[in-house]
Amino acid sequence: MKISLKLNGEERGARIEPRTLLVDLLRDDFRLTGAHVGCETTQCGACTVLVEGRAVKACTMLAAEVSDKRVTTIEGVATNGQALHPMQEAFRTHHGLQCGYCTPGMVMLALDLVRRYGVPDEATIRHDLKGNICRCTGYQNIVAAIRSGAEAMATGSGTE
Amino acid sequence: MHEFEYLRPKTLVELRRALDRGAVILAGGQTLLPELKSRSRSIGALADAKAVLPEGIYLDAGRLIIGGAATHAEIASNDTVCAETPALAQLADQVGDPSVRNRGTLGGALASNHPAGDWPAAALALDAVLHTDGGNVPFKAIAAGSEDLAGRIILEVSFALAEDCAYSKFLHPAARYAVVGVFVALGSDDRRVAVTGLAKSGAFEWADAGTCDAPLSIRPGHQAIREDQLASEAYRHALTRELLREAEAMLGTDGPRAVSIAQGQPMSRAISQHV
Ligand SMILES: Cc1cc2nc3c(=O)[nH]c(=O)nc-3n(C[C@H](O)[C@H](O)[C@H](O)COP(=O)(O)OP(=O)(O)OC[C@H]3O[C@@H](n4cnc5c(N)ncnc54)[C@H](O)[C@@H]3O)c2cc1C
Ligand code: FES
Ligand code: FES
Repeated sequence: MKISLKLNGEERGARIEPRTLLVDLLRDDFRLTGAHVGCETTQCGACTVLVEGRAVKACTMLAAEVSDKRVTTIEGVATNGQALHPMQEAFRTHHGLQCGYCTPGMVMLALDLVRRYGVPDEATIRHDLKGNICRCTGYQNIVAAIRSGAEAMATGSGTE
Repeated sequence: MHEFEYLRPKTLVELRRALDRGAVILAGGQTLLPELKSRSRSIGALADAKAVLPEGIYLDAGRLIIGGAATHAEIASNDTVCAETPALAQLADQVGDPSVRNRGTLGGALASNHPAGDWPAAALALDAVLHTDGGNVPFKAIAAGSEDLAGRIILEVSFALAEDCAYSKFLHPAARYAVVGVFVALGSDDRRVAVTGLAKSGAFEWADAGTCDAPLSIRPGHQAIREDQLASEAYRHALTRELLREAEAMLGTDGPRAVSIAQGQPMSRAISQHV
């Protein structure tokens, strides 16, 4: 079947099998390998991307379901010539990553948190991180990064 | 995943026709897609139903009506639900994680009736009725196994408005479903308690729950009790009693109406108020 979608702001099309997962569409067809496959069983959140601005696990959604939808991946968050989106910058500043495997998913989830709460407090961040697993950092710096990234976005240095 | 055909019906009539030809409804996919991926289920055709199923939330004739396609996230942040039945909004906010809540729907949760799902407990305690394209089905008939959905489409779900209600859940550390969950609802002249995670056959109404000071024995009919590496039968029984205390302790307070308790966390409410 044929689908078309708005991927990171651009109109894109693809010819897929109905059983193709969104994460495979992104990685294999569009070569956007930022969304990682950590578990493939909806547990780890490494594959998190935004569909219509909302965080989803791309390993648990069909590519067919995003037909005519807006999809944003980590490759598309920095806009207007920025090198890094303020949320990415906050992860860098706060050492919110070590190996980086979970990071794209963490950043995309953080953008969903900002959409819902503006600047979320620590308890809210921890509550909402339940489905994003990091094997390296111990989460402390991820929580600090999300909070600081949200503040940067609120004061206008951010977009999205 | 095995191969399947993907259909996107544009109307309920088209959806009905697809189902009659053997297609399976795809709503949020948070239960169905994992089943298909693990090949524990295989199907000929999927009918993506989100675009044609109702998702609105409103009050009607003293009941709360929630569209079958409303997601956990939409329910959690809906003003009507937050004002009328905060326990349901907070329960929805504690299902899985944000990404699961952005996709998973109420209709899918009640259609799949997971034995440790949160919604089945709420649906029993609040006397939920499924409005399907083939008529109304009380959820308690589904839970009791005396009726099944038989291919019907859940359009909307109606819940009784309780005077007060609360839900307490002991979290599965990995899956985030309930190990056991207890939902208590106070009506003007009755009190209903429903338990999920305890019986193998799923949520049931704990008709002789007693009060939190003197919980009576848990007798889920003739059903077998779940037992796994996480919790033995006796442990699940003990949890159920404690969770009933937790839920009751929330009633009538200014505090939350749903809590998730993780392993190693004290059951603070019960301890401070009932010991
Ligand atoms: C990581 C993870 C954590 C989770 N944690 C929890 C938790 O803590 N508590 C909890 O209760 N649940 C939990 N869930 C399950 C989640 O609540 C359900 O997956 C979800 O609500 C099911 O809805 P869905 O829209 O995704 O259904 P789908 O997966 O699309 O469908 C499930 C089944 O229901 C049928 N169906 C769907 N909609 C309808 C309808 N309107 N009418 C008739 N049949 C229909 C489908 O045909 C299918 O057989 C979790 C899931 C995941 C992946
Ligand atoms: S790869 Fe999707 S949740 Fe782990
Ligand atoms: S930085 Fe390595 S998994 Fe999170």
